[in-house]
Amino acid sequence: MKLSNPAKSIITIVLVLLGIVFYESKRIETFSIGTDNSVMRSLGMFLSSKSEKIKSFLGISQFFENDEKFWAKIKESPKIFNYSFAAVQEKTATSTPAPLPLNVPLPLKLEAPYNILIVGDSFIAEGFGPTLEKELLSYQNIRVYRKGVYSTGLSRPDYFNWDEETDKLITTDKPNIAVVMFGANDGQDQRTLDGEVIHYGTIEWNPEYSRRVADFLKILNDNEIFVFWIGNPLARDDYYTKKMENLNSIYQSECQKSINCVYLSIWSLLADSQGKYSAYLPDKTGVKRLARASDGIHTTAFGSKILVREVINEMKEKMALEITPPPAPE
Amino acid sequence: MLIVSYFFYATWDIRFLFLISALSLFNFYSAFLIEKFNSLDRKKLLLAAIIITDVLVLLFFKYYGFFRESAEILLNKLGFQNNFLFLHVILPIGLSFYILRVISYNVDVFRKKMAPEKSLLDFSIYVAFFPQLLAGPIARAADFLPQLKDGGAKTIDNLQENFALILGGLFKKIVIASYLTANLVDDVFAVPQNHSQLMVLLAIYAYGIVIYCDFSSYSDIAIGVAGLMGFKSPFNFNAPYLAVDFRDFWLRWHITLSQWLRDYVYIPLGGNRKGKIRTNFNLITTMLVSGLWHGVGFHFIFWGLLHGFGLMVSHVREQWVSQLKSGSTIKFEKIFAWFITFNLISVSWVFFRADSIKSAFGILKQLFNWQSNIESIEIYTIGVILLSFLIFAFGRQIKNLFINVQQKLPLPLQILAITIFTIIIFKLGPDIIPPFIYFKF
Repeated sequence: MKLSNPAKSIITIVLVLLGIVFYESKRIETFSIGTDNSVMRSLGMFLSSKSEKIKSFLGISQFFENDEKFWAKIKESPKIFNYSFAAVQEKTATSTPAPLPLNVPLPLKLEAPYNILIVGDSFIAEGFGPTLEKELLSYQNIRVYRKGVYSTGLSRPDYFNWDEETDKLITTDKPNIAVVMFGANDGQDQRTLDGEVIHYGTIEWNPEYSRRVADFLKILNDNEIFVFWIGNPLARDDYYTKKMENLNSIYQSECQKSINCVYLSIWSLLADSQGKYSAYLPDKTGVKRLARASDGIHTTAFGSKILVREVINEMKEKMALEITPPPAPE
Repeated sequence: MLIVSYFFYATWDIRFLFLISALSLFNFYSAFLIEKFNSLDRKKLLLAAIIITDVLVLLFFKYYGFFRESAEILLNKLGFQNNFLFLHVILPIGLSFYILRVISYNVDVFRKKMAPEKSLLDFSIYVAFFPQLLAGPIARAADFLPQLKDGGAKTIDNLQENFALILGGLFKKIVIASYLTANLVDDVFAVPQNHSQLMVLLAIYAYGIVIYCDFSSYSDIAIGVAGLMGFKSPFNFNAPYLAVDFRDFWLRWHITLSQWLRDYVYIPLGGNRKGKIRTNFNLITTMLVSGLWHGVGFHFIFWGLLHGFGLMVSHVREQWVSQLKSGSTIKFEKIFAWFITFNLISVSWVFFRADSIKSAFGILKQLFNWQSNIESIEIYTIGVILLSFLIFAFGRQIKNLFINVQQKLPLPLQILAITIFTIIIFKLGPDIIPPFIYFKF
């Protein structure tokens, strides 16, 4: 039977799309969680979960996991022009450091020069993160390293392992201060590296997430890094706001357990005078300006500036920050 | 086709459907009025009213927030109390593109280049045709509408070519544009002062690659998808970075927009028919419109002005080159002109990409910070930049090779090859692929 070109076209499109969705079901799931397009989100979640079930039924899930690891390894790029800063002593990261005397953590002295590592999700990748980096660079004796990765957090180390990544960043950047912000993508089922799933909303979820926050803090504190843990701001949608409230309480509680962590709440900084979410907020002169992105979660340049101003003020209480004077005229 | 296109658009926001259908209805019936009037003056007046209405819709959705904020800030500085109406206006995706389509349609009817379309359904499909809806190419009604007649497109000329366009587009978007955005451009443009001179220079060139790969990939995918349904679309790019001056650049870059600006802005302003001064004024004005169309902010206006001046210089250059006689001088001049043009366009992209004029100059200033350290860089980033140059040079040959091989394979193997290539493209790209840059315009 000879097929016409339109028939060939339709058959090819349908089969190619099904093939890609099946093979790339994890990526489709990640995309679906992050997209603003509700139809795409529902369709993507449906197709990815069905694909995962089929893979599991056929017993070929392991092949796809190995395939993920293979490509992740391929994409690990070596660097050229590596250099190290003289200002900070050599330090190598370790997840299992030597125990401190009597196992009691000592308060770290926050002294210049400051090597600040900013890590987190999309809040750190764009908007708030770059604005904070830029603002910190205007102070003396500061170096800033920022790593923000979209759609990541502590819930899915199978997708992006922040513990491992932070170890690497500590080795290369040698920070003595860390600014951490997670949560925007963490209100979901948690997965372990062994593939175990802890469903969101179950009784096990909070203790497991608390443990992950504590572990992450331990990596930093064990490497003598003081932590400023930034909570999440309130969001537009109720279901999301509730998730953020829960996550913030975990961050705050875990941070308070450590002598070398300060929790900074930014929850109400982007609220209106009634304490409610507002996309527009007045600036100093009363002009209403757009502070939140269209997703009702992230911040615009103006919204980021509001957050950064307060975060720096809080950091100043712990650190001796002095503005870099402008160069003297020759 | 209209149902599919409207469904596609509604997945972004169902409210957008009201706007696109209202604009389709308004422009469909207004074209009949233009034809109906006998007096040229009346026709002109009506056309002006139609264009002003369409432009006001665009201005309202695109610039209301910017105008309100800027005006209130200015009035506050002057000591006046601000009292502008506060509205939370969102920009419907693709509006800038379909507004251009409906304006060109009415002008073409006025110029008697085409008769008003009799089918509201066909006209609505022209406005909302989903492959071209979000970011072009900006098809003309006279080219598109005949393809809908007699039950719509029935033949698909070259299946393999359309799939090659889609695959090539995905490669440019995912492997090149998304990779360079995630691993170099975003970080450097966000905080240039924390990066070395070399890295800033690399990021500036990389952004030129990113915006070309990002935008041309969307065009390629749109043309390929339309082609798979039997529709022919105009090409939008033709090796733009080989341009030897700004005029040459705009003949190769976003071709459907530059032709639109030429036909509906530059020529109505008088084009080059009213003397040198007026020609230069027309060039600057046209590129200013281009800058304003692209986005909100003074940096886009500045970008448009830079290109306007570039076009003025191009005219001078072309006159000068026409007087050159020696072959080797012409060759040398061409290489020199290409080098200057490529670098100036790369600099102009800084204003396009930055979020303000101040931050654009901040990026350029960092190029002259001689005290910055040498910074480490991922080898793959350099590799992707080099790969993109290979694609620019041999893209056409690679595409033809793919088409030739595919044509010799049976259908199941063709499908398998396309699936494997697509999966490899996704695997090579970063985990998160940012949206197409031109979606925000």
